[in-house]
Amino acid sequence: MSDEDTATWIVVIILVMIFLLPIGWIFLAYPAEPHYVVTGEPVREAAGATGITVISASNSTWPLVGAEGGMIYILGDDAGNTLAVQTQRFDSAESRDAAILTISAQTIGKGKTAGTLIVIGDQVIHFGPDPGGIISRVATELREKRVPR
Amino acid sequence: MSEDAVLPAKTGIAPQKVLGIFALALINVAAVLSIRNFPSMAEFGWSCIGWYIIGTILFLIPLSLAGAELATMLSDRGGGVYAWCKEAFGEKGGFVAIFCEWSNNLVWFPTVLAFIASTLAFALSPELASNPVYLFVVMMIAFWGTTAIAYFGENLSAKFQNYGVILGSIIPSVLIIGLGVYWILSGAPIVLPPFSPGEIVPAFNLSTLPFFATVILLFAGMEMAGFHALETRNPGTDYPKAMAISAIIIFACTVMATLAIAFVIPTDELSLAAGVMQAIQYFFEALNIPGAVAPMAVLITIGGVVSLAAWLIGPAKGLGVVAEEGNLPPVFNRTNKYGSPVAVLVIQALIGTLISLLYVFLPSVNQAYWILSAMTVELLCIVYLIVFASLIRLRYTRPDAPRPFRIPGGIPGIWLIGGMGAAGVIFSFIVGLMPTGDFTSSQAIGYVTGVLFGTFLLAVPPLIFLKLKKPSWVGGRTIQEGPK
Repeated sequence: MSDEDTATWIVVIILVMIFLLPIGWIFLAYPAEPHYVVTGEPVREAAGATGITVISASNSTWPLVGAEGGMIYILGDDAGNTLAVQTQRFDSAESRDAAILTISAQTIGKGKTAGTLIVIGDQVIHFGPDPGGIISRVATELREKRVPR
Repeated sequence: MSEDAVLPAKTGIAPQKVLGIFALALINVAAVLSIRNFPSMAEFGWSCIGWYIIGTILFLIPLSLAGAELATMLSDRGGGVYAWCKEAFGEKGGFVAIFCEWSNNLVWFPTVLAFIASTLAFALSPELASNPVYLFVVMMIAFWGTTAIAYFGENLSAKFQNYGVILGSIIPSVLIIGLGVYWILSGAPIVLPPFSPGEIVPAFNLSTLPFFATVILLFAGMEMAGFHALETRNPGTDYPKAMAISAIIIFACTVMATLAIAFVIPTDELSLAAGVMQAIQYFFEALNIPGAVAPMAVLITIGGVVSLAAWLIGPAKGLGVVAEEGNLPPVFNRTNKYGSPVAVLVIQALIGTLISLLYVFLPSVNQAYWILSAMTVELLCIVYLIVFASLIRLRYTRPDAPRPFRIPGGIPGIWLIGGMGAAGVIFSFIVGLMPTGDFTSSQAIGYVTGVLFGTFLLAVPPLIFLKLKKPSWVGGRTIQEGPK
């Protein structure tokens, strides 16, 4: 291998590292949420604790492998804003992670997804577009329901 | 077997003038129009119209006009965004712009590839979507297959994109619009609340601000035709027309198809937890044609592949021109007999494969995906900020240069259009740093730092390459010659 070929490969390796460094760091810095059974209805409880009203609630099962059922809530605040929230339990960390991957791939254009996800144990909680800042109120309560790592 | 030959720079294969107005327009449509946006935007109900108007005024119109002026002014240069920004800000500006356009793709490729694989799984067997091996295999077939098409040059890749976008984006859009019209005419109930002008005004608050960046960049890719300047038959006249046609197709299909879905599917059912295909399934079942779901999944998969192709080929061609000018080490400066920047394509495919491996086989962490999306947004904002700044600057530094298409209104006009675009992307850059509800306040600091650090790392290599640049990088160009 000539000096030029060696230099070439060094350049390629450095370039690969430049890309893998931040992306690898991100995956390491944010470890996956452990899979454990969450009891009760975290969204209803978080809404109740923050003065958000549950306008309606219905059962729902996502057409995904390992989905064990969950709820669709319509939450409302005093100003009349509403927010659709879906929750779903998964039977394993693998099936839950596959659902997260599916949802995360649904970006709008080259931007972000329209909704917001929060993962607690075996539950994936999907918030739709939030016109009234309901997510920020409920999310704080929801995150406190996570089992400390 | 091909044989390597070192030829002097600029003596490579002359580009074939194969692209006309519609071919150019469809390249832009391939990059921008995507069925997967419709159900997500339909969640906003009537206010999706308001969001689309914001994206159109602050981005689609400015970028289309900027692209038309810059592409016609510099129609004899290859490299698209690189040529435009280099003309205004020198090699450094042009190189940073094209590298950010290229590097944001590498972060974004796994997302679109995962979408392609999971959508195809819906047509084959939905269980496959949770199988990482299936996902990775399909992702790699799509990725390397598209790279192979790019390898065979402009003629084949343009045809692939043109036919593909009609099949995978335009036909499904028209189908959804047609069925939406049928829904209304058949007297079926529209699930949206009664229309009033106030309904189209989007809600602005801390929760919706991060979405602003997404909406602005919803129409990202309108500059894609600019990468094909040297292959265009009559750039001076064809570009402005192609820009106008593509902008109209994209806007009309996007708005009408989104509304068609919003008319039929209730908001809580639209919550896209199980993916776009869930919404499409509901749509067709509501219209009593469930048999159309699987074919639609195949068409949407094709649309995803075509979108991937547009983004994979354009910026790679731009980076190929950078290499040709000696701003990258010689390893990047290899062009095959079809005129494709084969070294850039292969390096791109290798890096994309490694990132996809991480994406599929590491545990799925919601925060990590959000950060990667944010980095894509931030890098794109840098690209477009330099493009809009170039548009304005060139009116001062090269006021008399021939511009077959000129944004009307003189200097005030250019500031209005360029200023609106620049303001939109600066605002998007700032709100793109806002974390989602899944981050605690202490994690939010790490989030912002991580996004900025990652963006910096992926934007800075051009400055390093220019610092290390050697005269020998300019001297030769390797062309893989095939049979004569």
